[in-house]
Amino acid sequence: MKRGIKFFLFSMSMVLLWGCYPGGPEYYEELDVSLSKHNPDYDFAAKSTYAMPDQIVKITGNLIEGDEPSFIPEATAQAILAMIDDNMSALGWQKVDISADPDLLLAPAAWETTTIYYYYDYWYWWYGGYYPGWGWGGYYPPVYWTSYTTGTLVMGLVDKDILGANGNPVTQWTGAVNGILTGSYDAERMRTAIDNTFAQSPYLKTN
Amino acid sequence: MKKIFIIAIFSVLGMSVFAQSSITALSYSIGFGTGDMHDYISKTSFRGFTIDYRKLVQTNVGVGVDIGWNVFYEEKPYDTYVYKDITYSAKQWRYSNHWPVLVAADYYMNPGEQISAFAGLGLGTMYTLQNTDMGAYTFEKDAWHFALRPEIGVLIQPAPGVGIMIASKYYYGFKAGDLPAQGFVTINVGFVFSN
Repeated sequence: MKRGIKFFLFSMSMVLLWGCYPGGPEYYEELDVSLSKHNPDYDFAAKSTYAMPDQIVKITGNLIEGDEPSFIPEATAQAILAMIDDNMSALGWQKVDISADPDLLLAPAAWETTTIYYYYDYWYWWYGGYYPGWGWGGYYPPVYWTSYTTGTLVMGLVDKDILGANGNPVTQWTGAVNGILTGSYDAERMRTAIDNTFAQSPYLKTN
Repeated sequence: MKKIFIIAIFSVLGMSVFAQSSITALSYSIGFGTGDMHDYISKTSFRGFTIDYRKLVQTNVGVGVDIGWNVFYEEKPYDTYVYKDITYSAKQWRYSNHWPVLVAADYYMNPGEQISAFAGLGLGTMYTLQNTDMGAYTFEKDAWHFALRPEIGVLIQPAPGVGIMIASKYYYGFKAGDLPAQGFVTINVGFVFSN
């Protein structure tokens, strides 16, 4: 009897403890991340002009295998490019055409990543076969799967005059935003994330 | 008649405590981080349990094991952090799980009494698993620490074979792997079963 009480108390404790395991994020926007990285030896303050394409390339497929480059939808791209321009302008940068020999090139790119994960319902299995006399059931536990897709926007500031070992220009500043995609473009989330990336980078200030 | 009954009851209780050969305690554990552990998560943990078993090798000395689980959790507001040459801004959800597995010995001050204070020391290992969640990603660190655990408490056994334990333990896992030393104080309240 005492053994039964012990087992009962232990089982209840486990259930209660697992039941109140700490929570996590509740809203998509809580998962937005802004990130930046720069070359600390590069003198951004000595520069003043930049050029930026009027499209945002979407990294997908394989160009080497002959896939055509694709771009994110025009309306979304223009909205994002305007946000980038706003931030660069606030830091004192002047946007010029690529033909005007800008100090830096700001290259934006985006991609999506879908993560799929699955899990077995072991409780179902356990319930069906753990206790003697209840029968094993002779079947595997049910499998469930779910997925989420994240979107990433990367902005790179490149100085065409500084080449790396592979002969390509080296990125002097990289800003990135990442978040869960919800199926519809949320301008407010995007603006907050981009603004935060530039806010992390006061060394970009030229004015 | 009433006096005889009370004396008889206490006699039985006393005999049962004296006669017991092992003590098993299942306790709920509240944790308070210290040092680097507190720097990582400052919130009190209200999620934890401990299972203690002591074989009484002498009337007032018990030797056995102490195993448990404490999980600390803190939701950090949106903030900016710097790691090497990378700056990032995000909300963070921090989790720190600790599973101590210790060999333990306790000394009971009043082994024949219904209320007996005790003090003990545990020695063994503690597995720590820390996750820092940001965005859709988690940054995970884990380590097996060499661990020490002093403890003080009191056993209250109002009836034969069952009782209550109130104790305070200090778990200290020495620096291991990527993790600094992990220390936390717990307050444990639980049921005690003795044979």
